[in-house]
Amino acid sequence: MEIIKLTDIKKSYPMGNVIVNALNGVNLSLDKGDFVAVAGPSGAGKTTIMNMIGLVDQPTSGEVFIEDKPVSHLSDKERTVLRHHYLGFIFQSFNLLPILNVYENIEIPLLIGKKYPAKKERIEWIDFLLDEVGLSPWKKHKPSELSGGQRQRVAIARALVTKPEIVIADEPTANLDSKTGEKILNLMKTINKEQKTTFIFSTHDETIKNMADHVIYLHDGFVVSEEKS
Amino acid sequence: MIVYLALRNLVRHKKRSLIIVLLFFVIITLFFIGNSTLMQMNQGMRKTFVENFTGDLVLKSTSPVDFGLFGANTPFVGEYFAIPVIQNYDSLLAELEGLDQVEATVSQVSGAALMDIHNKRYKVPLFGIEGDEYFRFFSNLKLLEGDLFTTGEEGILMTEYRANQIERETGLRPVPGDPILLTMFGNKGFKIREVPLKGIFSYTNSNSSMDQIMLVDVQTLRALNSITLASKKDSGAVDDLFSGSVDDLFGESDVESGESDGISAESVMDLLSQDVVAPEGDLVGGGWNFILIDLKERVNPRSVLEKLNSFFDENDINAEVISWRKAAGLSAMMVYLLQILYNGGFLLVLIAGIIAIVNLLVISVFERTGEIGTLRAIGASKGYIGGLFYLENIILSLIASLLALALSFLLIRVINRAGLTINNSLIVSLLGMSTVRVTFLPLMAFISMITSVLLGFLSTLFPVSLAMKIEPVTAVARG
Ligand SMILES: Nc1ncnc2c1ncn2[C@@H]1O[C@H](COP(=O)(O)OP(=O)(O)OP(=O)(O)O)[C@@H](O)[C@H]1O
Ligand SMILES: [Mg+2]
Repeated sequence: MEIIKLTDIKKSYPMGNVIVNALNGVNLSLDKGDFVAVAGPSGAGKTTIMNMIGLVDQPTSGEVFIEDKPVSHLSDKERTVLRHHYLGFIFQSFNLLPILNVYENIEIPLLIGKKYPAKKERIEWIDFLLDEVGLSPWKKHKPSELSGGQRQRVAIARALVTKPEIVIADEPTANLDSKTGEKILNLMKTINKEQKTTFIFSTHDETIKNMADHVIYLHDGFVVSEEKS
Repeated sequence: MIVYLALRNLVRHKKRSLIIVLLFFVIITLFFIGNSTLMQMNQGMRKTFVENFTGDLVLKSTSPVDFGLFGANTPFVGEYFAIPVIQNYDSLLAELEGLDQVEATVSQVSGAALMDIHNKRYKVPLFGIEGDEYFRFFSNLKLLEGDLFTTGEEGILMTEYRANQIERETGLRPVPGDPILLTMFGNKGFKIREVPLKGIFSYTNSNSSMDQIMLVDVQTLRALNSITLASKKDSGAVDDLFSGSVDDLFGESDVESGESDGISAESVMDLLSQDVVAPEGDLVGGGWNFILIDLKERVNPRSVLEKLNSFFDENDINAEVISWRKAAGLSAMMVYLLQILYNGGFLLVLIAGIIAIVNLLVISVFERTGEIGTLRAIGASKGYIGGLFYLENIILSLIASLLALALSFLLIRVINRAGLTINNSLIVSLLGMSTVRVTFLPLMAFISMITSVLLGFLSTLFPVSLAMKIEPVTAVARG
């Protein structure tokens, strides 16, 4: 079943008097429950395309569909609600809030909305996620006390806490050594299988992209090839 | 949770939080202490004025010129302005005394004259009164030497302050019985009267403008002011009060204005002897400039004033009631001037403080751009981000205002314990007391709290507008 569709997405950034075309008309179709990799060299447009799917940025032209619903020109409010309930984010540099401990960092997406689950329910669910990412003993620690890999695990748990349909991860392993990166990807893959959550991650790492069911190759803002397994 | 997040943010940026608290603290402390003092001064001055020479309200005739007990309130006009007498005095007086809210009344004529004593000349404000009634009305006045003039008797009273001043400047202390020469320049030239000094009195918590006042028997002042009185036969015809004859009833000496420069006290002494005082029986009511009104306790002066004035208005009566403050005229402006000066200074501190706070908050927004972007990316609305910043700053301003009030409270206790006595007569009359007893005003404390929340909110407006512009995509770029 198709969960995300991109039709003729273009994105250009004005840089002084030249215009940089980051995406030159991308057409994509992603299936629900897939583990998708977006691969390509630096400057290919990976981050730009992740931002389009993640609804944190808007295309210059073209349309993004989530479950057949056009979403890229919704109001800021509507896109915020979608990001909150439907999407989860994992960032290259983790983006944890330094003032909160591990548990609180995972909890925060549940608390920034208008209504949130009861405390008991939250505790159970977050404890489960902590166990899942193997950080139960680190619950009360601050992000500054954790290693890079541990931080990215916290970020994964945070991305999953609202039970999103889609998790978007832009180069989640770029700030990690290759062994840790592989572990993180394995964790993501396990969750993908267990929870049926669609994962889309970008990478320029050859070995990591091979773990995906669906690889999209980008170059100079074009999709140059696709591989499905 | 948002409160928790706000608090955690504040704790994380301890230094910045402390500086902001300190800035708010200074602003709120200045606001509270300053306004409490001014409020107290206002109340103190009210007490001083009301209990010494204005009463709660004053009834006077209407006039295009704004005037009070000291004459015209506009400088320059004052010299040439003759205070109108109250028309329909008898019926108005009866009206006032019939009111439930009125405790007592006393009437007065006002004027200004040159006073010659021991070969020195002073410009003095004169209140023409009936001695015993006036002193019964103002129980704050203390007769220190001599006697009051009784109704119909001529005489003048001066303050102890003035007696001391004259003694200092002439070497001779005025004593009851001393002759005093009063000269007044009016439309028709000079009028000169000689009256005996009857006594020396003092006000309670007086100030320098009150200490100038001389209390003179009303007939003498009427004569100086050229106020004619209706005689018995036409007492009903109020319109006649000011009519026709410029020669007043007393027929005292006029000196033409052409000779004004060369006049000396002695040269007109003989003219004074020609004065003929009208027999008392011929005088009925009228001939007063003001009726001072003492209201019963717990009566709101404002509402009585408004009721009376609208009554006068509706019935086309040429009379109006003014507040004690207006009656005291320029001499009551002191607290207003202080208030303006103080608030001017306060405004500067406020502006500087707010600019500093806004600056710190803008820096904070820039520092936290990545964090804000992350929150936006994971689903926080613009409103949530705005709320977080408002909350943080209002928490700081509330903490600051609580500290400011606590410090002020302690300070007030220390001052009251110390029981400071004030020697400066201006401050004594402004505060209405000679030993400093400051009260912690809960209303002012409440206003200060509200102000601090408002300042917290206002100073966050601009920084929040910046924070809300941060797009979720910055989370990806900045981390
Ligand atoms: N905000 C921006 N302003 C101007 N140009 C931009 C901006 N973001 C991206 N670009 C340009 O768009 C193109 C695609 O950038 P993008 O970040 O999507 O590449 P990427 O594949 O993620 O590269 P990397 O592997 O280095 O992260 C690049 O040429 C880049 O310089
Ligand atoms: Mg990138």
